[in-house]
Amino acid sequence: MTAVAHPIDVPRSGRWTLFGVVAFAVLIFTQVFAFVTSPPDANMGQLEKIMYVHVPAAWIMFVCFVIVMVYSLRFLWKGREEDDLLAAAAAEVGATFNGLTLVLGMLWGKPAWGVWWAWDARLTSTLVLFLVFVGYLALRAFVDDPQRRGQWSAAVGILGAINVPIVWMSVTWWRTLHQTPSSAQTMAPAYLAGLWTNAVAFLLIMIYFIRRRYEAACLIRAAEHAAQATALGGLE
Amino acid sequence: MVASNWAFVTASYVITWVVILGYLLHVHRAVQQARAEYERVTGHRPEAGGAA
Amino acid sequence: MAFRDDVRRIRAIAWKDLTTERRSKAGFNSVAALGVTILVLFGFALGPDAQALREAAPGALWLSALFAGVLAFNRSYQVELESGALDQLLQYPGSRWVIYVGKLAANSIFVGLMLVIVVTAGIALFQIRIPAAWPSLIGVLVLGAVGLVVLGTFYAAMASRSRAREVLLPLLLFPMLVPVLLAAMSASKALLNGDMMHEAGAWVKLLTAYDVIFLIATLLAFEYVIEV
Repeated sequence: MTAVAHPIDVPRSGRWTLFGVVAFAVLIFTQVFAFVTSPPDANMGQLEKIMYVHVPAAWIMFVCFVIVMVYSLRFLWKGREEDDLLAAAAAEVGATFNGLTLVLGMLWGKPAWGVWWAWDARLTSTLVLFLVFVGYLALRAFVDDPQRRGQWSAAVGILGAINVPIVWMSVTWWRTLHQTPSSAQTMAPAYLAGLWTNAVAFLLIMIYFIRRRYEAACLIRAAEHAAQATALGGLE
Repeated sequence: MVASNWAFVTASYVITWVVILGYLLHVHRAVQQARAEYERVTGHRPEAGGAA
Repeated sequence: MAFRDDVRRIRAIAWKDLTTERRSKAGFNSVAALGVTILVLFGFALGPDAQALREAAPGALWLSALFAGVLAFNRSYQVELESGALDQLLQYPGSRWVIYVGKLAANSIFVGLMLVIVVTAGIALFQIRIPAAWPSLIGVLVLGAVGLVVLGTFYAAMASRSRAREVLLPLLLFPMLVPVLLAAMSASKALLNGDMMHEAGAWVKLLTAYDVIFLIATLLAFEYVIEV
């Protein structure tokens, strides 16, 4: 299937640089604010400060994941290439925050529980989600035709999305049946302000990252379109 | 126990910023390369053209 | 009338897949042999204590079947790819689901037979004591195999036609199979040990739900994946 059929709208980059600067400024502020003003926890001491990066990273990972699913469905439904490119951008950003969530979870877990890893529902589902993201990105890397790449990625993304809650349930059962204690991560209200502000900051960063990644992908596809149009005899 | 936790807290924040700044660099380089490719092929800058 | 035509086409596709396998006898024999070989290696990794082997048996059996079965799924598309027959198949009128169901049928038979061989070997190698509830165990094997075949056949439609197909199929497939493996292994383990806690029923429900959900989802998605 040739790609000249539908030209890509190249996103303009102008105001986004300002957005990026603002996003990072907000993040620095919220990080310092939460770090400095949060009181030490009775049980965990200073360890709860990790929550201000671990929990927002996890939330952003989920938001990216939902974006991938929504735009994959849109792509299959409407066939607009931009939807596929946005899903792919969200997948890359999501995979990054997913990896970060896992590492931060381990850095929290070692001092809190004494182990680097525990096979509980939350951690295990996060790990499986990471593998699904990685598979999605690997598929895109190994498929060259844009139409095929888009359709296949969308199918993989949607099926992966359906699977995650099932994985969560399976692992929860697996744990409860073997009567191993689950890891409780509760947060006292005193920390919620710091958590929410950091979550918003992370969200701004996510939006900026996805936008930039999407921009790069659109530019490359637009260049490919133009090259094809020229090759086919100056249809542009 | 509490004192040694600082190592983990510090590591967490350092790793978070390394990843975020690292991705920032990655995505900026991607945009730069993409723009260069676009200009190479079409002969004009992306803003000038709008839709390809 | 149209439905009977579809059924006939499904049988034709399944038969074609299976007979191509039979003519190239290397196909099934080597996959089954590989399954048993992997099982033997698991035996070395987990044994030689009989009790340890018995406890690890469900896990080792399912993983051996999985690693060997992965080869079967890519092969089911490879024959058409090499002869260019896939494009020809797509020319025929009628829905893509006919192709998919045909391949599901062929792969089910293939994987089913392989599972029988691997399980038989496993009973001996892992000193499994056959429980009174062995019919339920067969049910678990069937449900697990269905989940394996449905997702394996679907993902192979993509992986077999991409670069690096040997790594891409397992990479895509294995995370998706986590619930199947977990449920099948846990249910098998419970049934082999007499199922004191009656947990096998819950796992069987999960397996059934999973099989139904993904059979429907892959049926819907197959046309997007096979046509392009």
